[in-house]
Amino acid sequence: MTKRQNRMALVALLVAGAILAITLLIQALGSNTNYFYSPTEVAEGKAPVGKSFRLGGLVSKGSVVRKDMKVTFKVTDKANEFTIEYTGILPDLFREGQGIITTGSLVNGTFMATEVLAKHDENYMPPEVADALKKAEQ
Amino acid sequence: MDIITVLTFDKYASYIWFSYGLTFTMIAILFLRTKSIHRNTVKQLRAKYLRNL
Amino acid sequence: MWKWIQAFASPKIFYQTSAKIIPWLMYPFIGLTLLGLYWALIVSPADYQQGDSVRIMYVHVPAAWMSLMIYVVMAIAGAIGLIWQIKLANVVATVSAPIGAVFTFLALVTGAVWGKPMWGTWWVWDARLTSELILLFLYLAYISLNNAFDNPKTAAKASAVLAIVGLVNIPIIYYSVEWWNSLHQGSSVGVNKVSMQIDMFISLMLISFAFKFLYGALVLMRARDETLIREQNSTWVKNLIMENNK
Repeated sequence: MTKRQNRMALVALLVAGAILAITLLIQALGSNTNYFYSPTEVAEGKAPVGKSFRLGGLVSKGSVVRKDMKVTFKVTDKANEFTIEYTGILPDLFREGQGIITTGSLVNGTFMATEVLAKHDENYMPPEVADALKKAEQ
Repeated sequence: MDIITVLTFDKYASYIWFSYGLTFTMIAILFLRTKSIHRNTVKQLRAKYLRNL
Repeated sequence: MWKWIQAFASPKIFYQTSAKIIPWLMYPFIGLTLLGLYWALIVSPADYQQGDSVRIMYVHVPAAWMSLMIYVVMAIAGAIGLIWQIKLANVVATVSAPIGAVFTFLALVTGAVWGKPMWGTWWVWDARLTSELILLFLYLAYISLNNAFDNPKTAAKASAVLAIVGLVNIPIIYYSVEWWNSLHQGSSVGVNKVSMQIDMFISLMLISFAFKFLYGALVLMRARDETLIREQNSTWVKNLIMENNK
């Protein structure tokens, strides 16, 4: 390849890369932008039916039931609630009251999860401070 | 509490040490590469001047 | 003021002055790094939810900040080079790219290593992670475009245009966690809020400033090098290199 062809190939590659990047961005900006649906959105029928989607919310207090590797728990946004069934390893941050995002689909009102990811917020503090804050709230 | 127990970081030791190790290795590479580019430049320029003497 | 700029823009004076400045960037870098490591790994507490894994933040977040800052510097320097034809600006833009790419790579990898134990996954295609990956591609495209031309002027022009166009990605990365529901959490450090404990914040700041000094030192070192190459036909470079019998 001559230098010129080299350059042409590179420019073509760059254009292709730019198109790819823009497509990815538009996809992220478009309908798929929201990485997950809240329980209320699912209850309103905004989530895709019969297809896999992501559900995000808080793990309801006292709803976690473990049986061997199988876990059932409820995910809530304080307005609506869904029961999740999942078999597998949960992330370290998974606990009651924690925000999670789970992938799966609705089967007869139960969300059959294939993946459970834990979300955390932007607040960082040592355990003592967290305890003190909790006490102050009560 | 001695320093060794502090630095084993529970079950996250491998994740933490990998992150810090990689970060400072990459920084060292950046620095050394910059140094070697400079040495190369000086060497090449010197060779060029010697040729044209 | 203008006189001063001109004096600094004179390659010879730049070469001499920068030699004196570099140690004053390297010493703070080393000092801040050592202090930062001490604060990040020993002084700062474990998080109430994430335990010790929170310590990954003290390299992850500064690296991510650097990846954004260096890109902005690169695009601005590229624009200055494009508009006012200032050679030194082109040099700054060119030498920034590999440094920025390294910090972007570090932000992505340390993020993955942090995400695995906490979120339960190395990678997700959420807005923050995807846009940061695009930033890495932008850096790589910039570097290869810069290397594709023999004529440094054409190379500087073409790559500056790419850098400026790619600038749209920066606010997307920064605000991605606010604009969309993402797995990645929001920002902990903003203009008038800091939602972390003070020792955690100190660790973050120490390493973050250390990285900034390092970037300054590396850019100056590379810029001096470029100066030698560009000025290779002038007598002062000849004298300098032939006298230095190393």
